[in-house]
Amino acid sequence: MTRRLSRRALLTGSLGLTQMALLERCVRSVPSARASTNKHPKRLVTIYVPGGWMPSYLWCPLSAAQIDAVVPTPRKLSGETAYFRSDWVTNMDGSGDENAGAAIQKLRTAKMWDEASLINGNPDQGIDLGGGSPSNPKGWSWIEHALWENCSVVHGVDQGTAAHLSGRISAMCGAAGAEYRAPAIHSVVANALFDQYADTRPLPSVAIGQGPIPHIYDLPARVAPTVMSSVNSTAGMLGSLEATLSERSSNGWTGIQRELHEQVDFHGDPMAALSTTAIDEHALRQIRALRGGSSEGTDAFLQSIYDGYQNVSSVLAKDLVSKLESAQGIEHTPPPFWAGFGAGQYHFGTRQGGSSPDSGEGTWMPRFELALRLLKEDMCSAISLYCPGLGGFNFDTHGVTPGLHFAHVRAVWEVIGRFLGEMKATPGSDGGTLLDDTLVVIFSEFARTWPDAQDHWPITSVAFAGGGIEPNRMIGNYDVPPGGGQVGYEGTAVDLIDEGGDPISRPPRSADVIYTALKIMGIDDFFIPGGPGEIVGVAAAS
Amino acid sequence: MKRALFMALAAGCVVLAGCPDGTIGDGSDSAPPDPGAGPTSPSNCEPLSNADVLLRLAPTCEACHGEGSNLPLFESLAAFEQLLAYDEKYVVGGDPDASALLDLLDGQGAGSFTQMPLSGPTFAELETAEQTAITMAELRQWIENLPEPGADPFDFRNASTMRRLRAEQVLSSFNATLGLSDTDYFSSNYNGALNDSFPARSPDEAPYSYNYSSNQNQVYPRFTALGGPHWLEGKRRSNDITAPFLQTLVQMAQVRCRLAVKKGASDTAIFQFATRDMTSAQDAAAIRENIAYLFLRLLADPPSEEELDHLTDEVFKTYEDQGGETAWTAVCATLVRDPRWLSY
Repeated sequence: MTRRLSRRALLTGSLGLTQMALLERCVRSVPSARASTNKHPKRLVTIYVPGGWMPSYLWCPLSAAQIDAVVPTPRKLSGETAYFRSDWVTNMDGSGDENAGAAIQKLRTAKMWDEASLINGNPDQGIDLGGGSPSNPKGWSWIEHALWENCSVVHGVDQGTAAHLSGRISAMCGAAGAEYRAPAIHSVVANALFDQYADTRPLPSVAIGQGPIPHIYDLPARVAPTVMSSVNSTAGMLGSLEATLSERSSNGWTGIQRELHEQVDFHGDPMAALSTTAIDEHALRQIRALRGGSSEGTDAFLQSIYDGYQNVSSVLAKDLVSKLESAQGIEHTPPPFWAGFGAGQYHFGTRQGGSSPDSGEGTWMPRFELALRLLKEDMCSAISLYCPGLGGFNFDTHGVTPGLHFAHVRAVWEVIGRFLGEMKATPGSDGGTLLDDTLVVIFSEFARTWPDAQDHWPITSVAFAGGGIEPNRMIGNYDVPPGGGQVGYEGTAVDLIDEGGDPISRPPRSADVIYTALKIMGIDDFFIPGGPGEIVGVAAAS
Repeated sequence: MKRALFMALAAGCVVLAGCPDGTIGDGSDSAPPDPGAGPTSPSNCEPLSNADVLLRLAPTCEACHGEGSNLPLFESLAAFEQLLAYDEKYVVGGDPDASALLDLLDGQGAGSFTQMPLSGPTFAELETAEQTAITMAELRQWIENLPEPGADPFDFRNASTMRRLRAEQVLSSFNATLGLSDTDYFSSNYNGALNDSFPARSPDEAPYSYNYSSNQNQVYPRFTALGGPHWLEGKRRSNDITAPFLQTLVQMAQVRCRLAVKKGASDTAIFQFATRDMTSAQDAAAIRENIAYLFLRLLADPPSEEELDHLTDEVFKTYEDQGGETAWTAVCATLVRDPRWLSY
């Protein structure tokens, strides 16, 4: 009878000698896949806006008096209005100021667009918003797609740091630091959903663009992200994939053909046939031949390579690149107002260059296109999407050009709205939408100081969109005193349920955001240092 | 959280259960413990070893004191013993009252730090909330009966004897074993696939003589996929066998072997006894001898006759009708993918 390696042995195969003996006694648990229920999203997408953003320019929780105290007077930047007045801020859903100032407000923003024109499908006419400020259509996508129905925002989140790297790590895993001290949320999600989707999702975790790479920390290597960083054009998008997930490279694979071969597992027991190359077959044979020649740990190491090669071959045989090539990213939503903009014809940060409507180097970027295709083909459990501004604009503005940050961040917000709008218009499971099936978390590493986003500030906002949430809510706020007067403000206390199940009240932290997101995903087995809690009111009432 | 902590302890573990005298149950006749269920009977208990304490403190402390941290107490048993258990700054064997560790866990530390964990509830408060896997009383008992150093030897016989190459080693091994240099990747005769037109490099490395400024995005994804660190992004090195590692290795094996084979006779690392375009009908012996040579060169081990037969008949000859370049590329890639090439 074939002796099986235990999961423990498999896990310990590639660990250090000094750890081995300890692990002989106890292996850190690998959370098993939970039984998913329909109420939980089936995948996670994070959208990372690099450099530290100013979220209050987008979803504004401040009262009129607070806005008057901290938001600069509207000004023109290259003919475009930057900043806003308090009387332009209203509920996104058209309900005026209902619930404004309450502990939980509706989503509110400065509506700076020519709504009468846009709602009829016409261009923004640049009407006077007051004081000679022309209207500015950026952000209209959130109204066009009624995204208040699918989004809530937590304000006043303490990232625990105002340093870029530490803030990115804080946003990704919930604990600020020079290094990860917990797995990135993407890894936790991909791991928890792994078994459930092992046969259907070839890429458990994907990082698109040059953003932070989700760290697996102590989770199994199987959820290590596939990094697609060279996604700067449509050609680059597929080229990047070709180099890792296909056999299209004529220099590498010319003449190397596949055939269906009977397969055995590492122990020699029969398993389903795979389409493999002679190279695969010989490599697998060689590994099996080495089996049993040394320690149990060595066999575990060999098996991890053996299983991995079968998996790689299986992924290559599926020709994911062709599937992605034929998939449609944008298919249900009309071209946005900025679709016709070309090089030199743009409002700050909203442009689509290139020859086709959805390619080029504008803010839309092929990254969004690729993410949509991956989502629509259901290839991943977790996607980390990098979202800089026009031309790779990093939001780490330090006040050189007043209004620059505002112009760029509203543009990025606009394209994020289009991305969510397309997800919302795409059918999903159980009569819902692709957006309902997905939890989208939108964040930066931290926020910035008033009045002009000129410096780092650790207290920020995080948006939750998609399934499993209670929409149209702003939870928490910034503690702006009458008259303002400071460069930055603390978050106000929100209600949380701590790890022990007890209600507490304090300003939210990044750990609470990760904790809340994982709860929304229906995942319980994880650890975040620092005593996180679930932010009350974000998750949909069960 | 209570459940989460014990999930972290339960898998494959000696079952641990608290005993009133600071020992643990062996779990031989009991279900996994519930930390709230009270101690087991003394008859089922044995003294707490250092490893037991390490494992039960780890869920609370390891996130800050794990591998690579400033005070990596939980990196290994040796680290735990040298940096904590036998460092009298923290633990005085036989004298819990003189042991600063307990003061810290109780929020009564006298030094720069007054409590552990550093912020939020103290360990003792966490214990009260049933959020720890070991109690203060058990820790006192452990210190009271602190084992002699070396009293808890471990069995290393089951450890793996193989470790995979680091990212840098993978890159240098490709060049060394296949007779390549960085300039080969820029050869005008070689139009590489998008991501292999440039040598892979660490993203932390300063650009050197090649103009990487516009190609930076192309050179480092493969490096990080191979497990290389990206310190600017806080990504530590990984030497695990991950899907991205194998995906990348498989692709690099194809492209780099093809590159080496394309060089033909000028690459004596590949061709010592045969030429690229020689066919098995012309000189089967030379081809077989060259395959044996390549095997020895790449795997530092002579092939058995069976291995040689298989490589010749099932790999080389399978692709021979596609031309010598493809057949030799296949043999080369097969050897690169052997665990003996990618490990030490």
